[in-house]
Amino acid sequence: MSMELPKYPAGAGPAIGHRLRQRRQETAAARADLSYELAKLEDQAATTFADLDAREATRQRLTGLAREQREVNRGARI
Amino acid sequence: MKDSPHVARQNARARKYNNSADERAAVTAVDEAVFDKVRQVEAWTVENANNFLAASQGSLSEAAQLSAELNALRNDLDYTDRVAPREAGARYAVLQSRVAEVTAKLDRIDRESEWLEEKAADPYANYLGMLEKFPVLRPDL
Repeated sequence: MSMELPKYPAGAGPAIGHRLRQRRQETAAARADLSYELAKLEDQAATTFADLDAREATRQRLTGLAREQREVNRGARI
Repeated sequence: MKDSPHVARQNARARKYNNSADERAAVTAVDEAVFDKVRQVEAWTVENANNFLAASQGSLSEAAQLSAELNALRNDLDYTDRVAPREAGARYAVLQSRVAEVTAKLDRIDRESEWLEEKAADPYANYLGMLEKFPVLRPDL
């Protein structure tokens, strides 16, 4: 039996449904923001630590060169 | 077992009446009785949704705060004299773990808001669906 019945005159339900949809848009934006900030932080960390590693390697190289130079000087005096 | 309210509304229309005034009165009475019940369930859904919207606002604020902290650590790393590598690593580990926690909260918010929205969007269907699950709640009409 199929009969067209008058529809229920909806109250505040559909309006709150709209706010719930908006809330999901807000969570999607928050999730995207966190993901973006975390990725940028990781990129920055990679750059910073690469710089630090390069600086440390340079420092060790300079220390080694200085040591070699001192040994050369000492050899010359002897 | 009692009829579903929807079937009761159909039956009220299919019944034979002495005159059209009686028919109109009977049909209207059943419709209004059903709509009153739907209104109660709709009001309950709206109240739940409002409580949910208020409660979930906290997780959005937490996400915004966390985003600012990620940004602050990135800025500190940009100036290497501001933060020692070990301290940066410790802060990163804490922040990364909090990102996972907050993201899980946001996922739960999505699921719950979808569930509530489905109920709020069509209060009549929601009421009928509830009575399909719990026929014992079907009203006398």
